[in-house]
Amino acid sequence: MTRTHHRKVAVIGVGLVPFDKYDDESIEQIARPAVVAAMRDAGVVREQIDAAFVAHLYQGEVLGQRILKGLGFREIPVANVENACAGGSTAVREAFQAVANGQFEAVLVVGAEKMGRGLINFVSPDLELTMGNIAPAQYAMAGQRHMYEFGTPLQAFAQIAVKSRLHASLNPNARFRDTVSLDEVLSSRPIADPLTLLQCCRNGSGAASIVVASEDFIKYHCIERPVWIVGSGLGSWMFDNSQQDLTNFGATRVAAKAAYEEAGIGPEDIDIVELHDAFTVGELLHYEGLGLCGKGEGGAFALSGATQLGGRVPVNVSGGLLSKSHPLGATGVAQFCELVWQLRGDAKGRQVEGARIALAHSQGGTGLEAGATCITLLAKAI
Amino acid sequence: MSTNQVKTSGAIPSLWPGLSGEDAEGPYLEGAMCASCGTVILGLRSICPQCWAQGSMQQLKLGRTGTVYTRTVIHQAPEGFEAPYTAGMVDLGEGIRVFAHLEAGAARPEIGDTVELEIVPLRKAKDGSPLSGPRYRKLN
Repeated sequence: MTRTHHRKVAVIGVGLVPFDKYDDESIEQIARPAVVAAMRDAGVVREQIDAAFVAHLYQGEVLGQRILKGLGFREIPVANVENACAGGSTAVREAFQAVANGQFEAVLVVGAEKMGRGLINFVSPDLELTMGNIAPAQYAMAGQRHMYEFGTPLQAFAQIAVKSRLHASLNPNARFRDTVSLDEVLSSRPIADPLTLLQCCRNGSGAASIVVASEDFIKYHCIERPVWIVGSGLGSWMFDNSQQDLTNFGATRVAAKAAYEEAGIGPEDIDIVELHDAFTVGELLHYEGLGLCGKGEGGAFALSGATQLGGRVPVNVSGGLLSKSHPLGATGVAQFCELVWQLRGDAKGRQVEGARIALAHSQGGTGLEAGATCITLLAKAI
Repeated sequence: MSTNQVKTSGAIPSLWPGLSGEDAEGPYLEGAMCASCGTVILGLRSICPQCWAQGSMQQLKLGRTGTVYTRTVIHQAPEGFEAPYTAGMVDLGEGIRVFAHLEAGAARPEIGDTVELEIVPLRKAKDGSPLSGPRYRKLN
C-alpha cells in the first residue's frame, strides 16, 4: 500500500540525560532535564507543544503525564508508548506520523527508564523465558548459527565491543569510556557462548527527549538547522515456533525496507548509523539486515573497519548501548540526540565528516517469539 | 528407550503445565494439529492460529526427535537455574521449532545432530522445589 503524500517533518531540538546510575532520583526527576534541554534546543515554549509521546517499560501508569505535570504542561494529549526496547523509536515514529499527517504542528517525545541491577523481570514471561531463554542466550544462539553457516569468527563479534569503547572514549555522554583490547573482550566473563561480559550491554537509567515539528512551523518560526525525518519503518516478529532463519534477525529487514522505500534511498546512501547493539551479535546481524553488507558478510564487515569512525559507514559513534548502557525506554530516543548532533556538525571530537543521511534502528521483545524493530531515516536537507 | 531409565521425572511437576507428557513410546511434547487446515502448533489452543477455526485443534504428540538448529551454553543463570546450562533451538519433524535444554558436557549435541527428547529436572520454583522440562540428547 503506497503512502499518500504527507507534510515534511523535522527534529528541531534534542536533549539528553546521559545514561548512568541515578538511584537517588525518581524517574520524573531523571526525565525532566531532558525535556527542558530539548525544548531550549528547539527554541520553543511549552504553549507551542501540541502533544507528547512518552516511552518506557516499567515506570508505571501514565508516566508521560507524571513527568510533564512537573513542568507545567496541562491538557495536551499525551500517549504513553511501550514496544519493549523499541519503544523510544516507536514514540518518535508516532510523533512523526502525527505531524506528517497534519494532526499537530509541534510534538514532544520523551524516553525514560530507571533500572536496578540484574536480568530484566518480564511481566509476561513466555514459555521460552520460563525455560531459561534469557536475552543473552537468544542473541548467542543467533550468533552460533551465523558462525555455523558462514564461518564467522569469534573475533568479529568481539571487535564490535572494541569499536564501541573506542568511540565511547571520544564521547563525553558515554558511560563506559575506557578502551578495551580484543583479548580483554574475549577473555571477559562468559555470559552465553559466544557472548562475554564486555559484549553485552548493561542496565542503566536516564532519559532523552526530542521536539519534532512540521515544515510550516519551522518556516513560520524561522527555526534553524532542522534535521528532516525522511523515512520510517516498524516491523514486528510474532514467530510462534516457526522454523525461520535466525541469522535474519528480528524485523530489521522488514522495517528497513519500509523506511528506505519511503525515503527513496538505499543502504549505500547512509553516512552514519545508530543501531541496537544490546549484544555484539545483534550489531553484526543488523549490518546484514540493514543492507550495509551482504548476507553472511557481517563478520568480514565487522573486521574491515568500515563501521568505525573514519570508515565508510560509522556505526554507533556514540558508543552504542554497549558503552552507554541501556535504559530500555530511553535508548531509542537518545539515538536521535546523537544523530542530530552529527548531522548538524556539532559532534565535537567524534564528528563524522560530511554526514548528511543517518539511520536510527532499535529493537526489542520478549524473545525470539515476539518483538518490534523500528527504523528511522534522517537527512540534513531535502 | 533404556529399560533402566529412572522415571523420577514423572513425580516432578513440569515448569509449564501441559507442556509434555509420557506414554509407552516415551516422552513427547504436547501439540495440536488443526483438522481444518493441518497447521501444527506447540501446546493447545482453542482457535487455530492459521485459519481461525474454533474447536478444530486436535491433540498431537510431537517432539520425540528433532535436529539441533542452534545451541549455546549459558553461564549467567537467571533465577531458578544453575549455571552453566546448555540449551538450543530444535527443529522438529512436524515443522515447528522449539527451545529446549540440551544434554551438557562431552555428549553435548552439536548443530545438525539428530536428538531425542527426555523430560528431566531443569530448574527450581520460587520455593526451591524442582521443576521438570524438555531436554534433548544425541540420538545414537
